[in-house]
Amino acid sequence: MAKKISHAQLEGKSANESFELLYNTYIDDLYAFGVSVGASRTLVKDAIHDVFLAMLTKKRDLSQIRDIESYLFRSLNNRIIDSWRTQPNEVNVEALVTVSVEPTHAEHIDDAYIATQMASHLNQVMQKLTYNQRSAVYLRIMCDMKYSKIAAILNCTEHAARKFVSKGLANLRKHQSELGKWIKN
Amino acid sequence: MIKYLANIDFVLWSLRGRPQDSKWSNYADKHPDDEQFIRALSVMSRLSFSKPKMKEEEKRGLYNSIIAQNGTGSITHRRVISIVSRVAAVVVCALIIGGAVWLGVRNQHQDKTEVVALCPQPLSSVEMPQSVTVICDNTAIPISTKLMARVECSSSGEIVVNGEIVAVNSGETFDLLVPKAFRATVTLADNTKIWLNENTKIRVSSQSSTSARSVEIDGEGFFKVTHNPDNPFVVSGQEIVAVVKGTTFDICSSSDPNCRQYVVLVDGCVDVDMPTIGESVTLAPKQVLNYNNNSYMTTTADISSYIGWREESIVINNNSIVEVIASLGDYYGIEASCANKVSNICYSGRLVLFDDINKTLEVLKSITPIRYEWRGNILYVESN
Repeated sequence: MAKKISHAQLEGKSANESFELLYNTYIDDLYAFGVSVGASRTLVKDAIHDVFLAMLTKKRDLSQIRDIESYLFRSLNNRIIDSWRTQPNEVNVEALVTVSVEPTHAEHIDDAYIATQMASHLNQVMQKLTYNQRSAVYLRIMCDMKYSKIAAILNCTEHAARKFVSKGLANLRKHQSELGKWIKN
Repeated sequence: MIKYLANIDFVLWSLRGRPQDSKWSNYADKHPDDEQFIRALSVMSRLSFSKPKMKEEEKRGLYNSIIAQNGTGSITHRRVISIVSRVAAVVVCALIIGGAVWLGVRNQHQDKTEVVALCPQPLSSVEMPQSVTVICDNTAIPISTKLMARVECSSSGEIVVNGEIVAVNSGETFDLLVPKAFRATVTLADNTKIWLNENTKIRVSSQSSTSARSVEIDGEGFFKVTHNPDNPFVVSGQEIVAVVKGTTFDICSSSDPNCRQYVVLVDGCVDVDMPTIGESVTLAPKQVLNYNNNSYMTTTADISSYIGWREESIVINNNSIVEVIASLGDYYGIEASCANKVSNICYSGRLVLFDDINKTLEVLKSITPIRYEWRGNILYVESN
């Protein structure tokens, strides 16, 4: 996620050109974020649609926004939470961890099985986190974001963002002993 | 291996692609002979964070739809349009409904003028509605009632159902339709009282002091006719006609060919005419006339089983629980089924039918070892 768009890149561009640049740069990350924190794929698509449309139609002066990346993530986050308020059944946590089952050379016969079990267990544990913990852990661990940025996205203080991450990890640690329980040796 | 795989820090470190800033990154160099660590790494190498992605065409489609919608106007603009279109839809609906009502009212007025000249259609071809219905001046008036409709008619033509005036009849007759699972009582202007069983249609002629008293029936009714020797009361069934002066009797005569036709006299005296075979019989109290296939038979029988339905109770005479539950189901208009095991329980006696079926079932439950449960709208009865 090092492809930050700076204001200099947007300068002199029309609204539609800026939109195209921002859309192509962030669409994958925004989509992955939305789905990973538990929104359904259609909900994420609708939310992304609304975020960009609002940006275009409000003719918001992008130079006034300090950090466009966190502005986009934060708008998406807010839209997802808003639509959950009206449709609470939409929560749908997808697998955060996937496992590849192609055989590799020279490995223990049980390893493929163990990997599958690990993946399903990790996914279960991830679902036990609260929404903010899951979002914070996702942004911190998987996207390597700074705490200040996480705070901006989740609309909280930096201190709270750190707390979400550490509570989330503590929550994962609480269940880590179960991680190895099905390994025989 | 467990000690690594059960360590969430190790797991997350390897999921993140083993960045160099962790204590784990030079662990392998320090412990080159730790086979468990190597194996744990090999297990973890199969795992990765899933990165949900849209397909290229999905991304294009989303992009295009944003661009297209941007062209159609701002969000506030769209909101205004949506509000305006909703208001417009409401107005159009109101206009349509208003127009339909107006047309309906106009049609009703037209019907009224025509009905005087028209003969009403035969009772047996009047379609049975879903709820108790009064048809008066060619207008169907549905009556919302739970089980029982209490209908009273005055000599001025007012029809009062459950204490409310529903219509003023200006025609010569009105029809009362009682569908399955409903009952009705009718009190006529001369104080004659009629109890109507379910699936019954009657056509009552409006009574003035001079006109003949007559009722047409398709179904089952129990009549308590006010005595008037000068003006006989005529009840016309399908193939039997009962002419009475003041008695209490039950008549069942339906256009349904599967239905039995009979007249049961409780007290007084009834002349039963059977116009199709040109015969006439006078019944004595407690006599039953059964009419079947153009022949008839009179017997003296226990009449309570014929007229039990009227008193909101059913008479059970050594019937199995399966039959009892089936008739309860018919009465309350519900679906009921019994487990096979209970079928050897038999009852005799009179079962009072409460308004609430659960009360009635509690009575059965208290005298026999059964239990019942509701699965949705279906009643299941099994032995305890």
